[in-house]
Amino acid sequence: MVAISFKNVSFTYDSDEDNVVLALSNISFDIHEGEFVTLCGGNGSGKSTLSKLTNGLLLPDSGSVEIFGIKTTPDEGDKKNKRIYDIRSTVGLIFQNPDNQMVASIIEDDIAFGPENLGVPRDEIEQRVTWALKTVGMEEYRKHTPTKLSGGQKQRIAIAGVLAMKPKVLILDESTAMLDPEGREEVLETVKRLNEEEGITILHITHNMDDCVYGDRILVLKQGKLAFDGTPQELFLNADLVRTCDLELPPIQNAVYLLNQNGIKIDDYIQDEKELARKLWQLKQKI
Amino acid sequence: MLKDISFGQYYPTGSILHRLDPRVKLLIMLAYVILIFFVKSYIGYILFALMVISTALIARIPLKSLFRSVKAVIFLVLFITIINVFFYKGEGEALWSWWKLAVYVDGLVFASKMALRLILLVLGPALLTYTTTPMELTNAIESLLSPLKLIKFPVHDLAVIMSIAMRMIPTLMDETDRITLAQKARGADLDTGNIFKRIKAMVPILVPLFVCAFRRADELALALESRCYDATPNRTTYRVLKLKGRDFLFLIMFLVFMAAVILDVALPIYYPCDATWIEGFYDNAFFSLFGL
Ligand SMILES: Nc1ncnc2c1ncn2[C@@H]1O[C@H](COP(=O)(O)OP(=O)(O)O)[C@@H](O)[C@H]1O
Ligand SMILES: [Mg+2]
Repeated sequence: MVAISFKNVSFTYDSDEDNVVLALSNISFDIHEGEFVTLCGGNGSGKSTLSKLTNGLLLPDSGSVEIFGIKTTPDEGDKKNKRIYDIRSTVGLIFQNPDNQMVASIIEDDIAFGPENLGVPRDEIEQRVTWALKTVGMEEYRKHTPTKLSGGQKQRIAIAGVLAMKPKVLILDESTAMLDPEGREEVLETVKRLNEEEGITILHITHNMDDCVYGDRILVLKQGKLAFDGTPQELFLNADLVRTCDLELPPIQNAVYLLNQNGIKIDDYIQDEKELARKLWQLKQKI
Repeated sequence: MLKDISFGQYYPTGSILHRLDPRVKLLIMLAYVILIFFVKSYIGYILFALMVISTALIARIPLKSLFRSVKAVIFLVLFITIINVFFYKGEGEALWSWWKLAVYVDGLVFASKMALRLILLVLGPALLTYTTTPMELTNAIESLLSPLKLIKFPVHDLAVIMSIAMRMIPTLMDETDRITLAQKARGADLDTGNIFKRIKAMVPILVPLFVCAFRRADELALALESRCYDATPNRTTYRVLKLKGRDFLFLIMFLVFMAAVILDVALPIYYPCDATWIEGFYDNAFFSLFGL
């Protein structure tokens, strides 16, 4: 089943007349249920705009966005989309700064916030809080305050807060950008597990190409346009494209790129240092 | 630097007081604060002090930690005490006088009572916040105000606002510390010079703080919407407040205490020493409370 479907979507910020920005133009793609997709793009390429269009925080100027077949735009004649909250509880959005997503001073209260808003009965909220905390591996912090946690832990709590709404899709908008390498790994491992064990569709937005290894498909945005849609391998073999999109190749891929530039031809996809060393060894043998 | 103010810090010990219904605690606290303005005799203050201390003991909060909350207002207390000692115009002979300053017995009595009152006024709410999480307080306020829903007062929105405000205080304090350090690292001089210079030196701290706060608010609004805020009028609550036996026990104990205090207030005739300055009392009390 198609989880997220963008059809010819364009979006313009035009509230300020002197500063009209075409943030997205004519974007089309489908993300299927259970996929783990990474969305890359430089600063200002429209990534956050895309994430907000996905749960109806923004509505497309033209084209359509559908979540499991439900349009985010209101029906003809309606002022407000009647199913907007179905969409928002289906698509959980995690932002960059975990501190700005928590509403309560005790973790369990924070996690209960979403289900409370949806009018979930009390007993079930209790179960959901327990489940969500367990899923992100933070059960023992249930009664704690979020202020004393590490960045990675806070972000996992933010994820739990969204999970409690039982979403089918999780979107992380640069949610690892502020974290140290450990925190980043913590969060991405959690997300990976959610994808594999709970079957939750993941759209991970990042400008750090190192994170791409977690997904099996990459979308690249370049100044509001979809510049690439394929596997990480394909993308890294097309290093010129990555560079023109204001993105930085991961160190290994960058080394391969520089080697190619300097006359040492390596056409295969190289995953890590070992493989690169082996490849170079093979090349040397041939000479 | 700001974190020294322990006011508003939860001190978890799991005591019966911590488990008390927050509405009961809040109501008792309100009654306590109102009542303390009527107390005039030392006996009354002793009653109050005993109540605070025994409550702290029941809550298993070390008195040292409790009195840390007084530190925040200690200068105010000293200032008001000194002003009252030297400027209070009492009856009869002055104990000591020089220029416009004079010390009377009444002045000493009044100043000491004023100091006691201020300290007790801080300790009560401090005990409440030591034993009650901000979230519980918010729930209590929401629950106590819920009859106002009938007149379409947005009780729940108010509760969410309070909850977020309390949630953000430590975060903003951290941020203030960080900005202060950053500005100091750039050579900002925050600790010397007269008061005006220092206030001016705060500007480079306040401006980024406000900018950051607004940016946070923007993101928070998106997060609230994403988490279906306002989705249905039939919102449920995770924390349901229910009065238990212990709540009634504490209510009754407080009513007894209240009766004792009221008796003490209503029968000043037994403590003639207080009757003498009762006239100027109210003017002075408010005068002093607001700084001068
Ligand atoms: N609220 C806004 N008003 C006007 N322009 C905006 C607004 N938000 C973003 N933009 C502009 O839209 C473009 C895309 O922004 P955004 O989606 O935030 O990019 P990204 O998340 O990839 O950095 C940028 O040029 C940005 O300046
Ligand atoms: Mg962004």
